Amino acid sequence: MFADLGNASVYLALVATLYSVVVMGVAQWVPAIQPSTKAKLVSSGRNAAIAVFPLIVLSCVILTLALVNDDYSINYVRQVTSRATPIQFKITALWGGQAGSLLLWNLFLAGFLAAAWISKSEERDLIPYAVIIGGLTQTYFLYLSAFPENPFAPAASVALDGNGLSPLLRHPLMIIHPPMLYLGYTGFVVPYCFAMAALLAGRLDDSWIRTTRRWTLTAWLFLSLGLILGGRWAYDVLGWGGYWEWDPVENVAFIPWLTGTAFLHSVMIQEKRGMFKVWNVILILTTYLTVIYGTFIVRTGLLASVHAFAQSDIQWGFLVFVGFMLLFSIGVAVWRAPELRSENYLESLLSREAAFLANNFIILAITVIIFLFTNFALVSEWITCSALFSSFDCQSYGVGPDTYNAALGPLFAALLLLMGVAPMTMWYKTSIQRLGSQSLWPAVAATVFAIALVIGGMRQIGAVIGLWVVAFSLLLTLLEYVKGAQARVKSKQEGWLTALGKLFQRNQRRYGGYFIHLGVLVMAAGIIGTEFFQAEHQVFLNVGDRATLGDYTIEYLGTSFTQSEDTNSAIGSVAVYDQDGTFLTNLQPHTDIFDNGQGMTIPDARSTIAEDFYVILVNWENISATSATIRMYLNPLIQWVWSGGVIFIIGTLIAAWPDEMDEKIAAAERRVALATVNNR
Amino acid sequence: MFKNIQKSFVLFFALFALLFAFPAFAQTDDVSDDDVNRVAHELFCPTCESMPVDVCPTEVCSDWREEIRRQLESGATDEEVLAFFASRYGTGVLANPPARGLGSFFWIGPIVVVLAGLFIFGRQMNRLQQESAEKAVEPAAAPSSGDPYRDRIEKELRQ
Repeated sequence: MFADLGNASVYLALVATLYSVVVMGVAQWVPAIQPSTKAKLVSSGRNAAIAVFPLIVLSCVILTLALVNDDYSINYVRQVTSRATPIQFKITALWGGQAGSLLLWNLFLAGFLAAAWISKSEERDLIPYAVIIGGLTQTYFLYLSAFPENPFAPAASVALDGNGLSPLLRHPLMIIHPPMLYLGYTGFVVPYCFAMAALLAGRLDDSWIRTTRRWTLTAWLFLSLGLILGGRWAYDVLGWGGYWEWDPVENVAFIPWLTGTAFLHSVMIQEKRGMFKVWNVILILTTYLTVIYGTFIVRTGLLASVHAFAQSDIQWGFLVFVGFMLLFSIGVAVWRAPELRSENYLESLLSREAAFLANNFIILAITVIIFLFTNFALVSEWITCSALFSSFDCQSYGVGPDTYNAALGPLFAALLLLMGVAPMTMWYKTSIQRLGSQSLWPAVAATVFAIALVIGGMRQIGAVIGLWVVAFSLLLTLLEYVKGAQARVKSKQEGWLTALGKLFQRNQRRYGGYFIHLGVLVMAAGIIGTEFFQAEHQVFLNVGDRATLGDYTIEYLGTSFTQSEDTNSAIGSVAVYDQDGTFLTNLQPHTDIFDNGQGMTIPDARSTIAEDFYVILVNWENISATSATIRMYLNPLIQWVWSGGVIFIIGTLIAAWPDEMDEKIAAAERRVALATVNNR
Repeated sequence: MFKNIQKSFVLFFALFALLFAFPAFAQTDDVSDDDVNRVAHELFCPTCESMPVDVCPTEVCSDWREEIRRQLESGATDEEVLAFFASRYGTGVLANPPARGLGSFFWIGPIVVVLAGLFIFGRQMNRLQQESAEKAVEPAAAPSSGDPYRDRIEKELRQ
């Protein structure tokens, strides 16, 4: 009965979405409609589209209640919880499986769309089209939740207990990581809707970009958070000493982030110079399509194996949907492309515009390479296993981190370099002398730093180059703040701190943006540290045995075994000493085996700003109270990755924070621009 | 004579022993876990999704690690062990496939992408600049700032 109510609200949401699409379509495209009727239809369609959100909220609440109350008549509840599951994990089990994840996806999408339809009254003429586009996306995902992946579907048989939540998901980071990712994914649908609406309506000015800027930034913030938290989760839980493996599931979340990043940069050219209009439309379409594609990959398990794909229920429908949205988007863009010509032209290769364009091309190259590598496993399996190519062995070519790093490292380095140099360029034209004089001292300082690294014994040429670039760009970025503050100190007689604060206040976007750059550069230093200098050592130890890695020596103290509700844990204990034999700390890596047979290796680490000493209990070797196999990792600069992530998020918050002044200036600029166009 | 035969026998056996001593020499018991992991890290396990064999906890991967250890102990080099797995299970198990056959995609692909990117970028830049040059020629005759007053001043200044 409970389940029926949940079901009903999902169906109603689907009906409401379809209604809004149809009504808006009629209002916009049926010629014989009276203006008054049209206004009524539009307002009705908009209300229906907004009502989708509370309906999905209701079904989510009902599903959560079912999870908490152990309602095992519902198949989904049975799959993802058990009576022994602690209450907080019963709640988070809402996104612990396929059907629940899709419902959450729908919830976030409906939330973003409803917020957009409510708040954007000034874009009255775009709303009907945007509602249609958003509705089409929502329709497809609600169809999934209503039919093939219905979370309220009854269980096939009576059961007293469930299977329990996957142990990997019982971690605070895993509780927030998926929602962040979904928020990022669904948030990108809003700018897509407005871009398509602008194209359909023939409103080819830049207002859709201004309307959606904050939505885009919000989506990007959540996606960034999702990626960073996912990396931290892998580091804290998976026990392979790293945070990013170029795993297909990671890659498909990274791809829309990359195209979104390219978009956030190139919109600035359109805002300032009215250039690259087609390009920006393409970028936002690509971001949307890769979001859908990423969801598709993860939800169907396609990239894990073609064979897993064949077992999934939602495969072909997904392909049809992706194909339809792809063709539709491209069709509309091509139709309007001739009218989206630039208002201005490029004056110089040494200009802000050109720098942004170069940024876009590097990011796009990175994106394409990741996309090709990720999908090559699939393509190669298809090629080698098909009858046409019987000369090959049937297999899929996956590829590991080393190959990704080799292919992408130089491109990332180029991007970081541009990150330092681009802010010095001016719109229209920059003289080479100006660039040279501004970057001379940072370049000298970075070179001294790099030489010091080489003298200090660093021999990996890639790391030296990488760290040179990071130091150079870091100095240039910091100089942007110094220059900005200096100008204020001189002209406004402010103190340095006040000037710096005002800088952020006056131009949130710009100085928040540079703050994001600082975060990326700090992260880059950490990534270079771990990628080039990670060391590891695995050894079998009896109680009292010692082993050494780098400056650290451990002594194995034994393993204790505990049992809780549905978990058997082995908790290893090692004492850590430094090279002088001084005791530093005790570490307790442990391994958990759950009733359903799944296991988990939880590392323990001693973290300093310079490095992490990271220890795991190797659970695939024998573990007894008196002996165990211990694996140690030395992860240089890894804390920089996380601190850089924090700086990054703070910067994004500064850049995205609502700023009335900014909005007013934008509106004024818009009026001036329109007036100029009309006067011509 | 007999002694000589004895001597040659000893010599023969010594040589024979030396012959066997070579593999025995190469055969080493001190293959560490680190050696095994180093090789295992270069392999993808069929039972672990996109996880290298050195960190995959499944039974199949344990067997693979044992096989790696056995082969290293019998004197095989890292490359020989990897070649063994590649020939037995297909090149697809290599985490970093060599630039041969389908594996060459991972080396040629990025280069093609970057070159294509540079080409498009260069062409785009060229086009945009040419257009701006054409545009610059036209209004040079009568530059306009959109402000009639300023236009008049500039015109007068030019005269």
